[in-house]
Amino acid sequence: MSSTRIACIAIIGKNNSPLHLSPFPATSNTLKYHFLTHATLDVFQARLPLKSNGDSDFGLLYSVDEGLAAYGWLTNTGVKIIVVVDVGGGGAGTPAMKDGELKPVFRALQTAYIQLVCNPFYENDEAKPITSKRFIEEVKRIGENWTPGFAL
Amino acid sequence: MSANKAARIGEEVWKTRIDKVNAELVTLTYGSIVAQLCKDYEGDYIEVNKQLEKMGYNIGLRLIEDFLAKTNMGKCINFKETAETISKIGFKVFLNITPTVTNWTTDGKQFSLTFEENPLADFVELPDDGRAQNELWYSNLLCGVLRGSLEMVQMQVDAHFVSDVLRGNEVTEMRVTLIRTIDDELPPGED
Repeated sequence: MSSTRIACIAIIGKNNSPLHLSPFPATSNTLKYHFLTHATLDVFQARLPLKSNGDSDFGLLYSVDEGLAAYGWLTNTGVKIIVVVDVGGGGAGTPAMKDGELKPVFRALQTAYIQLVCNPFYENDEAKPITSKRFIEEVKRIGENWTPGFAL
Repeated sequence: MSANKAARIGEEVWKTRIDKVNAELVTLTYGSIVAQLCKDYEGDYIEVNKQLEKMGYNIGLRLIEDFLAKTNMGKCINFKETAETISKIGFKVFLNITPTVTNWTTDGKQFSLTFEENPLADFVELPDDGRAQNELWYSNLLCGVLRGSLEMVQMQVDAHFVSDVLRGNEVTEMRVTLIRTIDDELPPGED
């Protein structure tokens, strides 16, 4: 499906505080995505005991009928990366996405996050959202450029 | 000694006689030093620059011994050769980079080192407080290292950064000026 695109990228800290949220396009209403990502936290929680193999990829967390599907990734330090994909069309909520299609996206986001925390001037404070320009730009680049099968 | 020869020596020494250390260890260690200095001096970046330079100076005084022992370098015949040695052997063996030597003044006493890469500054994003971008020279330690090590081989130099990619400049450039050659002083108390 050609209209499949990323609708939102969110980074949630260890204690479930939102560190960063970017909607795509940037002018969209963020409130909806805050609700969506907030709701995914329960799914993370519920699936955590089943994840014994240390795999970070939580796959499809859930989808809503506007054609939005939320995918999750949990690092071993407890940071959650959530990507909401707009699968286009709307109606039936079954996304036409292959398994693991978002892996490169998560990897790229994780790399950006590593870059961020390795900055000696970055203060790892859960209460504050991320302000790093470089990180925000990188998230924007990933969110805007990705299409299925596209290598970042 | 030609630039090519210097490059060859640098490569050779780096391959055979240097103990390697993980790059992230260096980057993060240096990063925490700078960040801590910024905290200790409460954001007085001018003072932080000074402290970094001083630390570098003290490193340079010692490092030159190690450098001379590992490379078996003799005396450089002129400042041009010194510049090539710094770039292609000095930086090569200690940081595995070779900054480009450019912008010589006609009297041959001043040149620039431009850094295409800088392992000290990986990951770094300067604090967005409106001052760090204009005041802090993040890698100022390197200036001190040059000043310290050259002083030990009878050259008094001034080294300072004039631009840094961290500040949003196109290149990272350090300007090195030879102030004077220090004559070997006679031992005191002997006629």
